Parts: sequence; structure tokens; C-alpha cells
Amino acid sequence: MAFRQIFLSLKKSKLLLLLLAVFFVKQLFMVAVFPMFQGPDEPVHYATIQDAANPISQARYKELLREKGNNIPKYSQEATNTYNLVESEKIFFHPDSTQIFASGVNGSNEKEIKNNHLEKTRGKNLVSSFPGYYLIPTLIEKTLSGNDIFTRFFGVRIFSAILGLLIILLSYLSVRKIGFNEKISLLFSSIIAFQPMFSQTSAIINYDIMLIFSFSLFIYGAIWSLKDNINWKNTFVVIFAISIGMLTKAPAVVLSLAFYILIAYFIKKRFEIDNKKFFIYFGIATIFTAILLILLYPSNYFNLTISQLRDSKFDSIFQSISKYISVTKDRWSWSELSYWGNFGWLDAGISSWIVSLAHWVEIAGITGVIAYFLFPKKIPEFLPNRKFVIFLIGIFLALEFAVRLADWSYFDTHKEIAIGTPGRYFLPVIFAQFSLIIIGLGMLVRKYLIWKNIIKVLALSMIMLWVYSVLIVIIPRYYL
Amino acid sequence: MKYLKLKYILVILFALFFAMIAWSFFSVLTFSDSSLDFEGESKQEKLYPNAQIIQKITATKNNLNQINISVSKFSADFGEKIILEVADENCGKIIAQSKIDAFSWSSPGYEKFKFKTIRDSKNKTYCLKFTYIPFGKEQDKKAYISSYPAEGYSYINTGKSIEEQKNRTLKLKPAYENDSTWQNFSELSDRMSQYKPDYLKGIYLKTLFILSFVLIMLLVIVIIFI
Repeated sequence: MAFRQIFLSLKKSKLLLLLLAVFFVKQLFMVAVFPMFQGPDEPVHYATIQDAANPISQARYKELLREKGNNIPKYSQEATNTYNLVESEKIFFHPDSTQIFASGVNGSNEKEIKNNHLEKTRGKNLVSSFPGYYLIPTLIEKTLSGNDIFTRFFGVRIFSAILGLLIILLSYLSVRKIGFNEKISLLFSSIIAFQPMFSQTSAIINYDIMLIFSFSLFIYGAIWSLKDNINWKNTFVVIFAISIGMLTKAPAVVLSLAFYILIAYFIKKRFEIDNKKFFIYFGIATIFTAILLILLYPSNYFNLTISQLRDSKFDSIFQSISKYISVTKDRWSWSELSYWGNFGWLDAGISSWIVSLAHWVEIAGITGVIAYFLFPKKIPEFLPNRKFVIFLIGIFLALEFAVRLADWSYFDTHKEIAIGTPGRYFLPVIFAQFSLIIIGLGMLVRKYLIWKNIIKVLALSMIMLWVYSVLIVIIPRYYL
Repeated sequence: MKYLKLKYILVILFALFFAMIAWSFFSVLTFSDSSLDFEGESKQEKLYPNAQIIQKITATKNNLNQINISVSKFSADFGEKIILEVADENCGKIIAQSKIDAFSWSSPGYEKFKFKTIRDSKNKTYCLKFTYIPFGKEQDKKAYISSYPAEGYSYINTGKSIEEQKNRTLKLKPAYENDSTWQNFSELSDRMSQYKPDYLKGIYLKTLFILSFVLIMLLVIVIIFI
């Protein structure tokens, strides 16, 4: 039913088709806007893809290490050579540096890069543990193996644009499911489609885009189950999303936690358990599940986090947390800037007043969400049911908590900030964040027409922000 | 009726903002000399209030219209500014002038001093004078320009001493435009094409660039009128 609905939506909604077409074309342009290797961690992700596409045995790799010792390149020989010739290191973290431009459309080292036949096998730097994102990029790399590195590298970037496209489709379908009409859903999806950092993430090589996809798919499946009750199809979607997420990046553990709570909710509903009993059963089940996890799978994420506390470098957990808060309190504004627009290796930021403006919209949205719960009788008809709002708040807060927990956990055991909280880490819940803001604003104005016009203005503002980011920030940063 | 009016207000506002960004974009389409590289031991030259830092440069192309300079720890507050005067080789006659202040549109990296295009600038030497003008009582705001070793270059920081700093250059890049906006756009497209695959180069990239913005305009119209 719902799978068919995806295609029906496309057939029925010319507006949706237009949005998807615009998104894909502008993402192809974004793919070309960022110079090679200028996405955050792009070299190491591409190196991992190359390694998977051109595998060597562990024995051969050990042999190479013996032969070359410290001379083994950072990435594959080909990628390292290209990385040096396109002057990547000179550019990133140095906002006043660009590559040296030749006249015409070919870079001065382009011929040399295209004609080299260097090894594509393993260098020193790889992403070792999460294969989820790399499967399809590896296929692209293999399929295009007869072509030069530019064709392959940018081919893999286009895969991110396709994932971005699917995320926009899922966000449209999800808001339709929670009850927004076609027009509001289109406006809402446009806001996400033009969020500048989401646009960057959908145009570079990095596993973050797969994590955002897995969260978007999970949210779609969960909203579907909350609306039409749980069935095998939406359960499959949810489990599939969790599997992709867990195979991609650690924060996806949030999804399994959310699934656990979702299942508990459906059991309560199905067996009509009263609240008191439910919380007792839920507590017992949680303790039982935790014990089972520790016994059967001791290296699970929760267990690792808890056991890390034993290696703390602080006298007490309170000392550790208070020190963490004092060290990181200046980083909030940095996180926010890198959520709204700090491009490349976080060295090309938008003006700070834009972030302040976004803040005010967020504050208005949060005020509205609080009002939604305080004045249930005044909720206008066009806003979704409470269960959806609670779910969105839950998934949003869970990721916020998980990212900060991971950052603190590392700080606790190493006395230094290494993981950090760059804005893109919070993009997986962009759908939840933006829909809560829209719902909050709807609660504040309580008139459909005014609400629709506010969303229109927000969509237009986001488009303007994207245009400004590309034309005034990103292009001058790299090419002028 | 009221709703109809709002649509037109949105059209006007969007057109206005978009025109502002497009105007800024086309006015920043000035191409710095990317071959200049700054390596070696860097020094920080403080910009003293109302005192000049002077350096001569020789333009490598015609249509010199901008100097990009790396100014650290400076964010202009209301009323204060840094002025650039472009004078002839003898540092006498002022040919062009520019300033950055609180209203200048800043972009990452360099501060960009744009001035009236000097058409026949190729192989000519110009004297650049940078002056920090404070506002009111604030006399000692910290603003620095980096300098690097460079054979044959020199500058004077008159706020510190009148001694010439030989074989060093301020971290600055002259920038040039072309004879027409379309040529500027083409040069940008050429720069963006470098180290890209054939399907994102030249005419394909230009088409993609233009098509993206045409489609976005279409989407904007749809958004306003739905």
C-alpha cells in the first residue's frame, strides 16, 4: 500500500516532481561546486571506497608494510598523488588559499593525474568498522574503473545526491502521513531541500548522508506505523532502516532505542495495559534486555559507554560532566554555525546574523510546541495528533543526547575533545526538527492561511539562504 | 483579495533579495592572481590608527579592480574602516580608492578592496596604501596584516617605523576582471571546471549552473502562487 503510494505520489503530484527535479539538478551543481577532497573527511572516505573496490589480502598488506614502512601513502597511491597534485592540503583550513588556476578548463596537473597508473590499493588511512555506506560507492568505483579518478570520484559524489533525493521524497511522504496537505508538504520538503548544510552533505563523499537516509527511512516507517498501526510492511521498513543505520555509523544506535520504545507503545495499545502496570513491565523488560545484551553481546554500544566510565580520567562523574560543560560551552555557537552553513572543512561560514535569525524562528517554534502541550483544547485541526509530536520530540532529543554522550564519553576517558559536535552530526533529525518548528508555529498562529504563508516565507528564505551560500560564500571561497 | 496582495509582496521581496545577491555575486566576480603563494616565516604587521602601510605591486594583467588582503583579528565595527588608496608608481597621484567597513559584505579568507577598474594596468606598478581609521576614542583596535618572504618586494609600516622591510610582501593578491560580465562568468566556469570530470566541465558545467537557477526560479514562482 505505502510502497505503491510512493509511485502514486509521484504520478499525482506534479509539484513533488518539480521539487525533486529542482533538487537533483541543483545537487548535481553542488557536486561540481566543491573542489575534490574538500568535503569533511572526504579523502579517507574515498580511500575506503577504493580499498573495497580493489581489495588486497591482509598478508599482502603486511608485506607492503614491511617493504615500505613509513613510506606507505596515506591513501592509495593514486588518491594520494591526486590529493597532492590538486593541492588539497593547501586549501582546507586555510580560507585564504585556493588552488593555482590555469587558463582554460583543465587544471595544470590534470594531464599528469589522468595519465598516471598508480596502485589503487590500501594506504594508511581507512574507515575500518562500518561498511553500510560503502557498498554502492564501491560498485560505482568498480564499474567506472576504466575511467580516470575524476570520473570515479565525482560519480561517487552523485550517489550522495541520489540519497539526498530519496531523503526529500521520504520527508514529503512522512509529512503527508502525519496529516499535512499536499501544498504544506511541498513547502515543508522545500525547506529541507535547500538547507545549505544538508545540500553540502548530499553532494560530497561521506557516510553521514547514509545515516541521514537511515533516520529519514526510520521516521517514515515509524510515522506510518503510528498512523495505520503496526504491520509487517512498516515493521520491515523500520528494521531495514535500523540495519542500514547500524551498518553505517554509531549514532544509529538511537534508532534501535526508539524502535524498542515504539514496540512497547504498540504492546501497551494492543493489550490495553494501564499506565502504572505498563511502566512496571517496561522497567522489568528493560532491565532484562540490558542483562541479555551484556551476556550475549558484551561489546554493544551501551555496555561500552558504561564500561568506559571505569577508565575515567576524573575523580567523579560530576567533576567530569562539569568540566565537559565548561570546556564545551563556547562551542555551541560553532555547532550552530556548522549546522546552518560552514562549508568544506568548516572554513567557509555564513554571516552569524543569519544563524541568529534562525534562532528566533527556532525559539518561536519551541514556544509553540510548549503551547501545544499546555493548551490541548486550542490545537487547530490542521496540526497533527499528539502521538506524532511526542515521537518527533523523542527522536530529536535522543540524537542530541547521543551525540553529546559520545563526545563527553571520549572527553571523560581522554581529557580532550576529539569527536566534537559539528552541526552535520545533527542533520539526521533535520526532519524532526523542522517539522516541530512548523507545528509550533501553527500552534502560535492557529489560522491555516497565516500558517501556510509563514511556511511559504520560510521556504523562500531557505532558498535565498542556499543561493547566498553558494554564490557569496562557497564560490568566492574556492574560485576567486 | 488580501491573500492576492501578499503573493505580490512576496514576488517583489524575493525579486529584491535575489537581485541583491545576484548583483553582489557579479560584482565579486573578480579573479585573484592564484599563482601567488605565501610561504616561509610569517610576520604580523599591526595596522596603527591613521598610519599607512605602503607596498608597491606590479599588475600582471589589464583590468585591475581589486586587492584581496588577509587582515586578521579585524571585524569592522560601526564607524571604523580600513581605507586602501591605489596611487601611481611614485606614490603620488591617487588613481583609485576603496574601503571596508561595517557594511562591507565579508567573505571567508581575504578582505576584498574593490575599486574602479584600471583598464590598462598590465605591467604597470602601483603603490598601495592601507590606513586604519578608528571611530571615536577607540584608537588601538588590533588588526594585523601578515607578511611573508618574497624576493624583490618590500613594504613600509609607517605606524611602526619608516624603515623599509626588504624582500618581504604583505599577504595580498591583486585581482582582475574581464571586459564583460559574460567573460567573467566564463572565467569562473573555467576555474570551476579544473580537476573535474568531463561531464562537469566547460559547457556542461555552465548549462548546469544556469539550469539550476532557472529551475529554482520556477520553483519559487510555484511556491509563491500555490
